[in-house]
Amino acid sequence: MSAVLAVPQDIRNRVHDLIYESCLLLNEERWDDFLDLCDSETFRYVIGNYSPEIGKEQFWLDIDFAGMKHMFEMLPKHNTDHAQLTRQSTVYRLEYAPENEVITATTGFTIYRTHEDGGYAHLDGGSTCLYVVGQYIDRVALRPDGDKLTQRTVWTNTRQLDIGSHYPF
Amino acid sequence: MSWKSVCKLDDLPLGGLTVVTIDGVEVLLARSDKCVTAMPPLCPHMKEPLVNGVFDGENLTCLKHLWQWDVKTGESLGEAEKPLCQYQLRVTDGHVDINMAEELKYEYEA
Amino acid sequence: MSTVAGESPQAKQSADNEVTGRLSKQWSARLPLPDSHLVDTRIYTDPAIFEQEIERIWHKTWLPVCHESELANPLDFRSSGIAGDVPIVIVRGTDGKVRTFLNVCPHRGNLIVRKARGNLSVAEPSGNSNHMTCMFHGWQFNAEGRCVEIPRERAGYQDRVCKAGMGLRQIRTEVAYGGFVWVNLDDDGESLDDYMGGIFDYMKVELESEPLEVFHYQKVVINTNYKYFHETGREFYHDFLHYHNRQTGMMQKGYFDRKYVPYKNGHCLIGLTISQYKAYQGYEDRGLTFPGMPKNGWKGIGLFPGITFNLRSSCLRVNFMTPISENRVLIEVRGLGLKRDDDETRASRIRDFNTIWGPFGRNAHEDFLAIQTQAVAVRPGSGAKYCVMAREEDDTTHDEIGLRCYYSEWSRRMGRLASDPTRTHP
Repeated sequence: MSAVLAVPQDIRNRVHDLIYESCLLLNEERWDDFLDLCDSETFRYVIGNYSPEIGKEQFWLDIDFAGMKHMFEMLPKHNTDHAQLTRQSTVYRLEYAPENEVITATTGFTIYRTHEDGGYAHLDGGSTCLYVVGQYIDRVALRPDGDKLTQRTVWTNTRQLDIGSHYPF
Repeated sequence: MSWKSVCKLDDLPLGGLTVVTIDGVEVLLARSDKCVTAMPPLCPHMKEPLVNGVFDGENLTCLKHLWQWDVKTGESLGEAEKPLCQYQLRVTDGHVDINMAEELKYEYEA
Repeated sequence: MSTVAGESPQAKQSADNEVTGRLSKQWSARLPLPDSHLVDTRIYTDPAIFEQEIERIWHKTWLPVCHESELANPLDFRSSGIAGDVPIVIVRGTDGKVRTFLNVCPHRGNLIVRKARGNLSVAEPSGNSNHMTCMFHGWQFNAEGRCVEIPRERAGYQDRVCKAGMGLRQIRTEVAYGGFVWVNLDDDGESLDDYMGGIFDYMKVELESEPLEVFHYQKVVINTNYKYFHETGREFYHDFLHYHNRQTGMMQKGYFDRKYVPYKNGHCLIGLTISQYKAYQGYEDRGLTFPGMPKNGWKGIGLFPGITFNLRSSCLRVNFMTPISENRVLIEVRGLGLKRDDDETRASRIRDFNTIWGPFGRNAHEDFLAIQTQAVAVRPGSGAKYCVMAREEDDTTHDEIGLRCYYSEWSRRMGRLASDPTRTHP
């Protein structure tokens, strides 16, 4: 709680704007614009969860900026369900290390999935279901020329991801 | 005989159950206005911690399968099929000692 | 309305209606292929056939249910299920032996263990340490399956029901072939080794040189027939589904020389090939492998009735299935490395696994997508009559012999032909 209060209001606003914008850009599948919010040198994107079945944390995606860029570039070459993912997020907690100009932000999210042609488009196309529940743990570097995401850890409570996704969360 | 100092009598709550560790061995103490007794901490039936049971000042009941004993003597009451083991205990000048010549244990079925 | 000079209105109409596809009669006619080369789509959609599959196949064959690393210590347990919704619990005894029991209380039929995984020495609200306790009435069972507690036994049952007669239903269990726990609901069937018929000799060095460990566990429930998913592990003609395979596999010299080798009991292996992962943008060569496995090597085993062991150089993927109904299946995907991996090695294996087989990987999504839409296309009444499995390419990569060997075994065990389930298997 004290960490939240300690973050100056202008910085809070900047970080909130950055995280919400990142969600909107992903919703809109504007991959290049999303990458513009990420630090090209240090960015790391991780999706993980805890599996009680094997008693371990597991990581289902762990890539850097270049890896993410490749992933986006290859999307048109792959078959996909074309499901639209809609992220609803709330930034809950900011922890500030002023000496490093770094913020760690914890954001709760849900992702809804609107089906298109992954099944019977005639029947299911346009229907929506709740897909994933989890948190983003973001590290944001505060910079005069524009704040950047240096790491996003997507920690999901949901472990059944149905047929999976070629899109990041 | 191997008498060990446990605590002051007043450290034990009246009508309460207390677990202490003496030389690495857990011991359950029950104190009321009628008695002070020391016993192994687990139920002789299925190893349930007896500190989670109910002590009314005379009788102790394990809440798992409702085995019950007279705490003063350790004798079985009601459902209980085995008596409680008890450590020898003495109170001298308001101080509690128990005889820990050996750790008391129950035989459990596999 | 004007018409083109020299052409009557009737002639134009008839040209518009020219049949370019097949009419119902031709569409429904069976291709002139032998029984081994096609299957009737009813085997994917008929609930009565599904029930018979459970009884005649899934309850009679050896099935893997977990890996030994998921219950490494004495009194570790793992709950799971077998085809047709048979709940089971796998327990490692204080003697180190792994045993499997029906996870059903003999008293009033409740689940005994509810957690996916745990250790019996940990106290639960339902019971004390070292036993499995049914929370409903407090009956307790030890790790060997003996009933050790019936609360108020004598008061209620006198001598009519007693612990000695109320042990758990024990299920045949073996730990083998890379440390997997295999079970068989049939008390009298053949041994695990006989059932495998030596197919695991093909991966013996990779699987048996040292202990393995699970690093990836994923559940996928899909509304489809389980056989569709298993088929994706038995034919590689569907390389055309995967851009990744076309780029890293099909383009390589010798790719089409891979051999399928059918084994007894419907099992089948697919020969070693070398992939060029760096041909896929952003990917690298895989120097990291398994013992005995060449750099960038890839080999696989498909087991009847629906298990695949797929080893792509640095990581082993093992898929099991729990068929739930004729149109619903639970797929369990495991990724394994070597138990002795250091952090860096393990991370590298996980990265390799994720690129293709993870839920965000290139291939898994496409395979699941394909079997989901396949189930849509062959819903009862959709008009789909046959699935054709007629490719013959000298038993190599795009030959469909892997499918044919599966359906030959299927027909034998079911006593009816996959190509026409109304006919008896000769």
